[in-house]
Amino acid sequence: MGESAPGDLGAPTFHDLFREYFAQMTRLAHLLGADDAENVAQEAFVKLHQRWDTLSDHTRVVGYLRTTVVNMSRSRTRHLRVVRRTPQDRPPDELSAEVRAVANWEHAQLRAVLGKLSRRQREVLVLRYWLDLSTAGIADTLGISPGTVKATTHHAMENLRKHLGDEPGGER
Amino acid sequence: MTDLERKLAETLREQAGKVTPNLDAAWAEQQRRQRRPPRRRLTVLVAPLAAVLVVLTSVLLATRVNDASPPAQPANPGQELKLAKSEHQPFDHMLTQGDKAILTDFPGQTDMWRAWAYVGAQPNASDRKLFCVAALPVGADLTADAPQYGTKSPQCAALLPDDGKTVLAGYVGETGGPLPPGKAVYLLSSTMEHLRLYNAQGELSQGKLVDRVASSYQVFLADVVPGSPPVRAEVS
Repeated sequence: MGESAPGDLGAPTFHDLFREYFAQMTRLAHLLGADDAENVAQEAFVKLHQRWDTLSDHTRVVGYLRTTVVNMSRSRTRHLRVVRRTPQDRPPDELSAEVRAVANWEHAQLRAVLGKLSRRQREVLVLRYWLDLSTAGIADTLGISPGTVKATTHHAMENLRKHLGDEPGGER
Repeated sequence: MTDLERKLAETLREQAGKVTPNLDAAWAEQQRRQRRPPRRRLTVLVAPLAAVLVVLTSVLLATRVNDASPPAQPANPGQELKLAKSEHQPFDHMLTQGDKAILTDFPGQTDMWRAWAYVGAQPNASDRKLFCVAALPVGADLTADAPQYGTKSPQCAALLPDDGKTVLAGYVGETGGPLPPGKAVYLLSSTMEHLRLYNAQGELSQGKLVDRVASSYQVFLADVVPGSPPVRAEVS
């Protein structure tokens, strides 16, 4: 294991890639609502490994991983929705006394509101504000047009504002 | 970046920071998974197989249904009906004997008609009994001056010798006749209680006792398949 992508001298080995991106992919799955984020990331790497010999451009490997994680998280949350009959993945965290303090209160509010957004809106926000992907990068990852990315982002932010405004103590 | 965007990015970073996988353990797990024989979901294999099985079973069943011989009928139940052919006999040329039986009412072009059954004889052959069916307007008595339905009424047939086991005479309804299609009437001796009729396809029609006529006979009426008259009968 740990082989380089064929025909791409200087390319990272699979092991390098795993060590560099496994945590990030696990966090991405977690932020997208998968309850088994580590399993999603593991399977994404297994899929990547199965295609490893056919990849000629290692610069696209991370994009492939991201797309795989997004798709698998989507499947997982869809499954959870059916099983749990709840619209989103998990209830918002319990608000401890510490969390209620100042900044953490806002973060808890935002997490709760993020859980209320549609799947695509949440995906767009996570990819943009956590992974700092460009509009083109988000479009490539989600398989949608850049225009759709912009519109979805706009609507997602509007929804965030609206929901936060609705929350007691939310943004005014 | 707006304040909300900044807070959102912070929130996402904070939430993501809670996930801290053990990379060494994860790499060991990844290697284990890579060695795992490629498995397909059971449904990927089972679903097409199940579909093929369903199709094959359906084809097999359809073939069997087509090949299957028709349900076994009792081999030639009862006795063959060999009755005298009925003919038109003008009512005023007849002598009626005993009671008459009302069979059924049916619509004509403008009026309702009533079918009667009776036993009679020609004046010059009073010992040769005839079983007759006549249709008159509803409300009219069975008399010589009553109008008859169509040109075939009454229809009469000679009775077979009464051995107490067979149908003595009968008439199958027909278009323009004194009994409408789909009905048949039979005369049996007074000792019989049941009449079962079978057409050429072996389909059963149960005769229903309508009335007694001429003291010693019983009239049975049956619903039959139009165009497929009874050819065999069981009496008991």
